[in-house]
Amino acid sequence: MDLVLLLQRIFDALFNSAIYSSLALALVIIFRSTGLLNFAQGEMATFTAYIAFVLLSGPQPRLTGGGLAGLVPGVPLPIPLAIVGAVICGMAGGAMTERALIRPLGRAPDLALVNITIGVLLATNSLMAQWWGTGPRIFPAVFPSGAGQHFSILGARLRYSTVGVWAILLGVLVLLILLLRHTRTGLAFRAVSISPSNAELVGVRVGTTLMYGWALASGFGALAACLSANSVLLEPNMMLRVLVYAFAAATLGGLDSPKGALIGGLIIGLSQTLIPAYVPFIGFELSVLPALLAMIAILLVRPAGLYGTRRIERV
Amino acid sequence: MSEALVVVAKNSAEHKRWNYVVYLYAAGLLLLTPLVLEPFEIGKMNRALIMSVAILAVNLVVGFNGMLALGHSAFMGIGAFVTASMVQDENWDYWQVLPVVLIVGFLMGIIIGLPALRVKGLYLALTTIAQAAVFPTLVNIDELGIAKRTGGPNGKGVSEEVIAPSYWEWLPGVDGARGGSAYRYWIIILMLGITLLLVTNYLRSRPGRAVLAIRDNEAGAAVYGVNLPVAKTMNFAISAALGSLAGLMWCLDKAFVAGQDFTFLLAIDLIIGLVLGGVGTIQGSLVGGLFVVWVNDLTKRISVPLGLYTLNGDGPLAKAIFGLILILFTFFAPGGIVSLGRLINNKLIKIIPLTPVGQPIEPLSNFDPGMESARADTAMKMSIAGPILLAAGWLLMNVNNLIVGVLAFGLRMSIVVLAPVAMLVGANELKAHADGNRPDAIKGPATMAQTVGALGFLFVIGYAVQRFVQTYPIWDIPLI
Repeated sequence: MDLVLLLQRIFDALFNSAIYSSLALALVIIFRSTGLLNFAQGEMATFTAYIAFVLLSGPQPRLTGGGLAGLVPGVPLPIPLAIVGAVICGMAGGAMTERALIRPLGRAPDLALVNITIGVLLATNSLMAQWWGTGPRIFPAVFPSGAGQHFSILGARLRYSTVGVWAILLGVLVLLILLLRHTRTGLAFRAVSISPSNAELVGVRVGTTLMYGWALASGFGALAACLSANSVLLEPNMMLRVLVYAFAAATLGGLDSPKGALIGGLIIGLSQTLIPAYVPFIGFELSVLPALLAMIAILLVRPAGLYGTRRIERV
Repeated sequence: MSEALVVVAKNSAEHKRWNYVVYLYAAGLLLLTPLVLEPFEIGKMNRALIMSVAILAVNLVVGFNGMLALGHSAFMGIGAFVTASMVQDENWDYWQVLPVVLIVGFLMGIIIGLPALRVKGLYLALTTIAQAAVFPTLVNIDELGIAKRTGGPNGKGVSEEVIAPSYWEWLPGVDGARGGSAYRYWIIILMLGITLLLVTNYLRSRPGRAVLAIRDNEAGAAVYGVNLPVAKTMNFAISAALGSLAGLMWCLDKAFVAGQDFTFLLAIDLIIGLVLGGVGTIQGSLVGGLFVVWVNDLTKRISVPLGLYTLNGDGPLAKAIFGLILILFTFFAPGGIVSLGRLINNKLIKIIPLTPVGQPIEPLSNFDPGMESARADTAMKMSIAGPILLAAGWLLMNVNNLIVGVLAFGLRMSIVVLAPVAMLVGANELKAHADGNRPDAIKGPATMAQTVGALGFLFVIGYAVQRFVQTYPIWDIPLI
């Protein structure tokens, strides 16, 4: 086995892993707090990537679509600012979704909540297609990713963009942990995710806290979409496939464990690249298969995922 | 009006009369569909009915067993590909493939359902979504001859067309231009009818009741001796077999199957149909299938000029409308269209069940408002409103606008319900008057409601018969 090739494949897989991990983290944050799976996570993230794209290109009527031109700043923004803008828009959108669509439902059955998010998925997806068209757009690279721009480790190339994405992911994770451990909102958030009714009894404003949770998750999703938009080409269905992988990653790690999301993303990303490369039976087109089989296999052994908490039901 | 317009004892003459009207309408709808609709519209109807079978399959798991399974598009795909391959490559007949498809679907259901025992709630939703997501790529595998069987990315066509044999040509609609699709319509109706019968019976049987008990209280069901894993897996497998049956019907109807037809989006369509029709009701699956196909068709024709650009339903916005409908229904009508229909039905008729001896469990007079009844007036208003709305609908029909057109259609159709209701209520009130339970003042309005309602009803029947005879030359039926 060629070690350099193996290393190269691992490095290549790391980029995707980071994207899956961050989207899986977004799913986990929402699942922990609200107990629902946000099927619209990917579409909401893609929407923010389009916002970043518009911010990057300035007020071109072709891009801004219809009556939105007035809201766009007159000059194209640099990439970091555009991404920050997109993340802020994403957070606002997530908070609004929670407030307007999820909270009024109260304690609804799972199916109702799934329906709401599927409805948001369809609506967002077609709105994007309506405003920006279905054709793919070229999103500029966030990190230098030219021919020679990579670290060489043992003969394998580790691209700057991979390092950059992981740096951002880990940095944001550290921020998240600090937020959860050392702020009042974080404490409230942890309390709500353990037991909403008890949290309410001790004076935590559950609704507002959940809204922050959604904002946080959507911010994560927006970041993932902006960072990956260059490599997968910006188009309305961009995150649909990524979302399936992120679902697999989150499930594998355990739906309520952020650590699980990180490791699940790594496993899914690596297996997606490595298994088709070394198992001749599975072509590259089928790269989705091993990831999902891994997910099902792990669920069979550990129904709550690798790091998820087992639920014990009292009757 | 809190009380229903008609209060009848179960199986009484009045109840039977009411039911005859309902049966008459159902039969008329069934017969007129292949005769009146255009050939391509019959094709859409076929697709709607196929979706109904698939939604019924989803309902079996989601609605009746309370487990979130969202991946039935894959089972449909399996059924469709097995059918296409057997019919095209092995020259089997469709009816020979039927048992094979059912068995394959059942086995796939067991294989995929077994993990379903271990995982719960949203985890199951995830695994089944994975199944729906992976299926379109699975059919492209080159190994094991799969791609050869499924046609890979190009899809698989079935060259043998389903044409009515000569001894079935007397079926309504099965001749001339719409022959093929009308014949398939009758085949699909037959399969749908058998499926509905079987599913209804299944849900009333011992395993079916076990499935319902699991939905209502899993632990309780286990305590009462339900074998949870067996009941759940069997239910899932039956549902998968039904889904494959829908796939067979799909292949039969379209004669072409491709992996792109059975994506996650189809699974979403099934869920939308399920929710819009009504979760956990058999009628809901029927309504849901019709709704998904026909509303999609309607939205595609929308075109509203809005200042700078036109809102065009033909583009991506069709999906947005569906998303909006899904959200609105979840908020305001979680029971779906069926629950709305029941609400209206409860306003119209109340059926008092019987004791074992055959007496109404409560005397009907308890529900009867007696001398103060205003029902005769209501019925009279309904009997007059019917023709007026009909006329208004006819006038509006000439406006060339989609929304007005749909409105006009609704107005014209309102007489279909208003006329017989007015007639039956009028007759009921007259009977109550004869028994001495009503003042003499209601006699006039009740008689009028009965007469005008009967005329309207006759008009509806006459119109339907006229359409029937016009498009279906009865005198040509060969004697067999």
